[in-house]
Amino acid sequence: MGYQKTFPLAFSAVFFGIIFGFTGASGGLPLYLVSAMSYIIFAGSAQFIALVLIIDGQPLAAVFIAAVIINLRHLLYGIAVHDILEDGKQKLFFSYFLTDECFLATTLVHKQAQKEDNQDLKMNYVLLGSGLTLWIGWNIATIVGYLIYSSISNLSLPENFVIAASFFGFLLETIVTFPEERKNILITSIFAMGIAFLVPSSLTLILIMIFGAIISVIFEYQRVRRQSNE
Amino acid sequence: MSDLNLFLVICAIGISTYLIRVIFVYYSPEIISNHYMSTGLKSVPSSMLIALVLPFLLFENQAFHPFRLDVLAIILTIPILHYMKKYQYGLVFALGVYGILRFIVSIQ
Repeated sequence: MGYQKTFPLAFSAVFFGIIFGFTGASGGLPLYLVSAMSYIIFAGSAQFIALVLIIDGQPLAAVFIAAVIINLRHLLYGIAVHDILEDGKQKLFFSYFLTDECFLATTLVHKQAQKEDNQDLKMNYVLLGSGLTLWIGWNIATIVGYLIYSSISNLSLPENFVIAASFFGFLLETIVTFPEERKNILITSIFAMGIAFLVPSSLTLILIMIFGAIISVIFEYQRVRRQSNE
Repeated sequence: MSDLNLFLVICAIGISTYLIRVIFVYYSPEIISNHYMSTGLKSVPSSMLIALVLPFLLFENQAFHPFRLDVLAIILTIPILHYMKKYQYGLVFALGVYGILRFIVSIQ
């Protein structure tokens, strides 16, 4: 299930993996270092930030701090999937795969399974299937991008378009499948449009997620209060 | 910067990323047992999708730029996805529509 849900997302991972590979190559870094970033760190946005800072000649401490700050949002993912995954030592290994895409695929599969009352689905393996699909695609793409970067340097696809196009189908699916979330989605969307004027795109992700969580808590508080008054 | 130092920093970032991911997956934090906190966390996937779609689609460098070919491609893809119920393949369909639009613009 994780593989099926993540496979379409692997297209965008391959696209960005290729860009990552040839950015590293154009910065003059050896292949084994660029490739090591993909198989050790395995976190796209943090890798891009680290790579750009390294190429720019920034101090290594700054590279480390910037990458860690970018990855702090994964704390939220960890909390959100804690109850979804089955207990056991496997969690220690599977957590390595908790990227943006795998988190999304796992939580969407879990929501669907809950809706269909499917108790047999092992969410640990959903995360594993999703993670391996993405990890293999990302690492191959990094190497391919490094090796052929000069021949495709005229690639003119807008990067923002690829990100938005990769995820808008899932947003549409959430709106269609979970009508109870429509109010939250509408208000969070209005907030997202407002905040996009004020802060760079690297910050919008974490701010919008925090706002979405606060809004849903407020709605839940109001619902509980209404119920207790009746 | 020597290659060895770079490799050590890459390892340090990798270990930190793993620890950030694993800490709340493996250890049960008290905050999860709070009803309101778990309600808030359930909204994270939807909020994340909004954050990955709207600002990236409609804005460029913090400026509102909705009248672009790629925005039109995504808007035209919505009814196709909705009709076919293949929501995962947003990128594939949007790339197809974007390619067709670019072709039409180029021959005009």
